[in-house]
Parts: sequence; C-alpha cells; structure tokens
Amino acid sequence: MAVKTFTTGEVLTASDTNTYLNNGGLVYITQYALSSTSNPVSNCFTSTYDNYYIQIDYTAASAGTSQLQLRLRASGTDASTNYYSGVNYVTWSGTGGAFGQNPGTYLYVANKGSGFRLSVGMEIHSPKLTDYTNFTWWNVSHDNAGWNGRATHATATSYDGFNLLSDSGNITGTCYIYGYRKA
Amino acid sequence: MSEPIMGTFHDAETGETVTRELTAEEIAALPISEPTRVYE
Repeated sequence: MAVKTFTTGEVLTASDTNTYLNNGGLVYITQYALSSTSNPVSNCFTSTYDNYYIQIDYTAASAGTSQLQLRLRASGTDASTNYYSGVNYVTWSGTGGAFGQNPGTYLYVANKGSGFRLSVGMEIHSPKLTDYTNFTWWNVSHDNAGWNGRATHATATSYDGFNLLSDSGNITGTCYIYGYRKA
Repeated sequence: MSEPIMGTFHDAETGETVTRELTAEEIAALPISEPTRVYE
C-alpha cells in the first residue's frame, strides 16, 4: 500500500482517510483469546504482507511446567514436521546455554511455569509464500529463563495461519497479530 | 471421566472465535512433546 502525500488545501476524502490513516509500518490484523489446549488461527497470513509480528500474552497460573508450542497451518491442517530451531537462554543468576531442534515436529516456543505471566514476541517471515518460513522470537517470565530463538520451517508451503498449543492443560491469554506494511 | 480436550478456533477473516471439543482425529494429530527444558 503506497504512501500518499497530501497537498495544502487538498480535500481529505473518507476513502483516503480509511486507506491511509492506518497506513503505519506495523498494521493490526487480529487478536484472539487463548483458552484451550489447541488454539489455531486461520486466514491471518495473506498476500497483503510478507512478514508478521505476533505477541503472546500467556497470563494464567498453571500447575507445573508446560510447553508453549507452535505449528504453521494451511487450510485447517497443521504442519507437523521440519521445524529446525536454535535457542539461547539465560537465567536470572547469569548462567546460560543453548539447545536446538534438528528438526522437531513443532516449534518449541517457551516453557510456562506456574504462577507467572509469560510474554512472547515473535517475527514470522514469509509464511504465505511457497517457501521456507523463518522465525525469530524472545520470551520472558519471572519463573523461567529468558530465551532468544531463531528457527526455520524447512518445507516450501504457503500457510494461512498457525496453531498455539500446550502440552499440558489449557493456554489462557491473548494472541495479537500484526503485519509489516509493504510499499 | 477425564476433562475433554478443547480447541479455540479463530478466523482472522471473519473475526469469529469458536471453542469446542477436539475431534478424535484432531487429538491424534497433537504433538508428542520433546523433553521439557528446565533451567536452574
């Protein structure tokens, strides 16, 4: 969507207002409440954007530790193979390390411990293109080491959404999805 | 009886969100988790 330069005295039409008022670099697409073991969103990836930013606000206390997992989704079906990832983590005491998935059947996004909110910020690159999809993300929670991750889903497929999953119990919170505007 | 496994399905195009029990097929497709990474 191109930027329009208005000139002095030019009439601001309703159409131009609706088109260009929300013409920021990061454009809100949708948000939804997370409340289940499986929380898929469809039709959030379109040809309007190549790259996306999602925020996950995982709020509820839960007993024990559960994994927050992500799978890409096309036409209502999750992709269940070829998630390669590398994660650097650090603890509050300053120790750290790394682990990887080589590959995994899902993207291991975070651990959710009991009692504290978990925040995740993630960039997803080219999910709608018929090409590999790349990810970078971070997570932080008071009861969990902070991670910095990067991943690639090594399957050349066009996806229209993704699924956020828990391996134990339900996720409670909100997922926000934004697109990076193209010229 | 164990708790049913639920899914929350959101469509960004319509804005609709539906929460329902997962089907047997959907449950079978859920991931088998890797070992959880826990750090001191």
